[in-house]
Amino acid sequence: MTNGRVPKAEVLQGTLDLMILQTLSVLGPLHGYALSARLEQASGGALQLNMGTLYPALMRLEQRGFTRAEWRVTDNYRKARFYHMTAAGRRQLASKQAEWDRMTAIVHALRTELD
Amino acid sequence: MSLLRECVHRLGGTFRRGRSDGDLHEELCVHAEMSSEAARRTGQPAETATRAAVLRHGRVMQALEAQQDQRGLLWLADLDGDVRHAVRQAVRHPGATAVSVLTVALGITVTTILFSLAYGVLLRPLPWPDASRLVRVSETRRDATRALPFVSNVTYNAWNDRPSTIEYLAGYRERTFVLDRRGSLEQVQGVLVTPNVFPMLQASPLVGRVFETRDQDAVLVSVRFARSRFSDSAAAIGKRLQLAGAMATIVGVMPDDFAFPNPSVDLWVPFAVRPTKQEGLTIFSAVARLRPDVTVQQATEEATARGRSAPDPGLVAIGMFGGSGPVEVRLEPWLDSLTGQVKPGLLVLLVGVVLLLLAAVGSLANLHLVRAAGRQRELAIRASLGAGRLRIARELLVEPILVAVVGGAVGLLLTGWFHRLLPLWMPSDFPRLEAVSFGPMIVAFGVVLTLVTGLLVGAVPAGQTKWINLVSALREDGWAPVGHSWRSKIARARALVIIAQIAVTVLLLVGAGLLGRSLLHLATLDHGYDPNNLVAGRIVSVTGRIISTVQGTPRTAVPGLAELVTRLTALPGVLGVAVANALPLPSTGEGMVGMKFDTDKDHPTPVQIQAKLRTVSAGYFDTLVMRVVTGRGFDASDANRQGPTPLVVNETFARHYLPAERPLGQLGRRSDGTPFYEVVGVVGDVPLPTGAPAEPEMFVPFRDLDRATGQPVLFVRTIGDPVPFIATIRQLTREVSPLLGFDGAVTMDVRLADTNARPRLFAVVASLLAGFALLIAAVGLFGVLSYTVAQRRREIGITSALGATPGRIVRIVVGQGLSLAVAGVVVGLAAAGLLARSVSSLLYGVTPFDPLTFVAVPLVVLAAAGLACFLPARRAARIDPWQALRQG
Repeated sequence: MTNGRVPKAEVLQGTLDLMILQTLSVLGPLHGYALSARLEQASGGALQLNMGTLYPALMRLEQRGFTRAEWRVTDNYRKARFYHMTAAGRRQLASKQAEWDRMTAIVHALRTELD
Repeated sequence: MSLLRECVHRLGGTFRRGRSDGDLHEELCVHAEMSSEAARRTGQPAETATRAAVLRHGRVMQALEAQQDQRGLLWLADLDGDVRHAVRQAVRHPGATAVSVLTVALGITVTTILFSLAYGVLLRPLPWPDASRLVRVSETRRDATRALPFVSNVTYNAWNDRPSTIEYLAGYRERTFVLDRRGSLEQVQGVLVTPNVFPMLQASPLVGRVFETRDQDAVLVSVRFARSRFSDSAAAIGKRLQLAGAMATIVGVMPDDFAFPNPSVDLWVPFAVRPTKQEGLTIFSAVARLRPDVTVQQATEEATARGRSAPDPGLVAIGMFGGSGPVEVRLEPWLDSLTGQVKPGLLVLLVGVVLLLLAAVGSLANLHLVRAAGRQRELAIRASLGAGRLRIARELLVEPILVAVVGGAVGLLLTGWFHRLLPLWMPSDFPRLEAVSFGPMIVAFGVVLTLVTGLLVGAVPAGQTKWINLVSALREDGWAPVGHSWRSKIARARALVIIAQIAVTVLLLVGAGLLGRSLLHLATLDHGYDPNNLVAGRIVSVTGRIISTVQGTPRTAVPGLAELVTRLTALPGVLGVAVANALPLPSTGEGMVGMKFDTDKDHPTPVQIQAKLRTVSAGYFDTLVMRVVTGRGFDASDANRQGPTPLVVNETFARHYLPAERPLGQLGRRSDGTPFYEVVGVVGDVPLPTGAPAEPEMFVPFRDLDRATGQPVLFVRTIGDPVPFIATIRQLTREVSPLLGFDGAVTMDVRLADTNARPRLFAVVASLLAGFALLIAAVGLFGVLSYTVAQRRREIGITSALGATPGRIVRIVVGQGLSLAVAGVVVGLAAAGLLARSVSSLLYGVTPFDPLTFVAVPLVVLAAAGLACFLPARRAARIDPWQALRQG
């Protein structure tokens, strides 16, 4: 994280999915560009998502039924494809969050122990 | 659970594929635009941003495609493409496709129809509660000469007295009643039943009641009967019918599904089994219901023991059973007893159609094999570029399955349609046809069969993919020799399929040959009389004068028969008129007599004889054109003769019971010793229509035609076709007496043809199957040889350039094809030799190893194979070496 960019390979698949779901759950339906802008902004510019990374993830989530998408008009009257969470997506988010929390707790514990 | 959900979503995704391309592209464009606008806002040069976005676009599409490919059911998604490819392939070869679809359709149709028949007739349970516990009871004697499907009143009464192994023992006797319907006489099928039939079958009437134990003049009718004569079922109750000279009251109407003992019955009349007495014996059909957990064996033992403890009916038993040994009771599950006669035939045909279907599968598999071999180079290259073996195998599987599905659908439609025609085509005496229906079970069978067929057809070429070898496939150029038929594995598989096909063809042809020869034997049988230009029908009457009482049933007669015979004889075009108490067809036990007979007048040593007794009028032997071997037939004077009754016997009787050198003048005696019969003549045998030898028969003359009871049979021989005479006979009968009717008139040749209906059905179906198989095998051989010739063009061209004559080339090609055919014939004949015995029960007058069939079949098959080889061979011989070599 020294150069302020997160290389593509290092965004773990599960992590990106979790981040997308989390963003959708907080902000409601978003289109692809808004989503990437939001993630970039939230990470303080650390997370610049390549389209080649973002869209496969969006497609994956849609295929698994966690999100659903439809064409809608944005605030400045452009057509864009908006993604919103499904009930299955919310359940997935809840379980993944718990998992994530457990994981970070373990990593944190390990680190403090080593320090 | 997430696995399941993912599967569902992926499956959905497979079919929602349409979204991806245009829609995705648009979404990405929107993103790129937004992103470049944002860049502009932050001060970056617009072109740079757009270019970066466009550059990224391609890679994004790639990544998305990769994502799409992860949609697990990838192969399902690709299937779409494979199916399209297969359809294109199929359309490109319309002839081959049509032949394939037709072959599958026919194969599926015949197999499904036969399965449906076998399932409905043999497997479907009878429509009664606890039908598996119902058994048919029959009785015989240890030393019996014949087995009748009946039980005697003596055994019935003995067993029915508090039996421990059965719940019910019901007796019945089928009978045709003649009813008056608005002035015309009508025959109605009826049955005399003991009242316990109804509780045994747990049957209840639609309206009214069933019989009570002491019902005398009650009758039950079918809904069909009630509707045809009264306004509705309820209106039938209480109506009176004149039945066999007595009046009976309708007490109940039975529903349509009460088809006891068969669906043609319309009347049920109470049947009181005669009590056991010292003299006399009646026989009738019987069905019992076993107690739960009682085996057929246990019940048989009880019945036999009871039957043996009953009083011995003596001579009468000899008359009935041809023996007076200890009673043997036989129980058979009712279903088996109904279908036992057609079971072997149905099973043989079922095996036949399965073999045929396999032959068809083989032929189609070869066709696809040939095509796959033609694509070997393409497939090898694709395999080397990374196409999985399974992927290629699947592609080869799709087309056969597609063909099978289309063929199967056509086949199922045909099957459904044939089911409607079945009642018309099947012999009327074929049992349980009412249980055969085109239901879900049959459709399911057809669908499974279709899929199995498609998989089998596709499995052979698909299996070949493991032999695909890039190096060898590429090394040989397109026209290079594939080698001798055994060199490559694919060629070897083709050869094996052809050998198997020819073997199956031989097997089916041998079966058809045997059945056909046996039908020919039946058709050209010497019947012992001339069935042509001879019509026979029954003289029936509703009521009449009571002549005698036999076993409690009054026998009536209506005067007029004698006058009818006289008037008919005087008709122009009529050659002869005769009356008999029965048709010259096998008897079912009625009219059998047992008596003591002197073997030799000079040395009287009485023997017990058993014979069928027929009562005939004076002109009988002449009218039927029967051969009088010695002595004489009957003449008018016999009716009034004093002393012993003149007796004519058949040759079988004479051979069994009379001295060969002096058959005439021998005496039959009553129990008290007085001479009762005197033999005056011996006539030729009338063999059974099945070709089985005749039984001993005795003929006695009618004393007085006007006192002939029952339903005497009237025979009229005419100069030409007797059918136009039937109306005249009917009219004359009514003129002679309005109480008489001439009914059920059928010419004797038609009647004989009817008795051969079953063997004919089996023979015809077997011949069709065999012919079909021969065609398939010949076309298969032709196709494969044509292909081989096309592939070996260059080699053949070189051969002929080096000096081989066209004749030599023809010999080479035909020799290769024929060597396969010979191998197939040898295998087929060996199989036929092993299996021939299993059709022996269907054969009449032909041994299962009929030499003619076993010689003719290989010749026919080899001739067909020769022809199939010759055409491609001739093409090979015409190959121009110049052109063939240049093409390489």
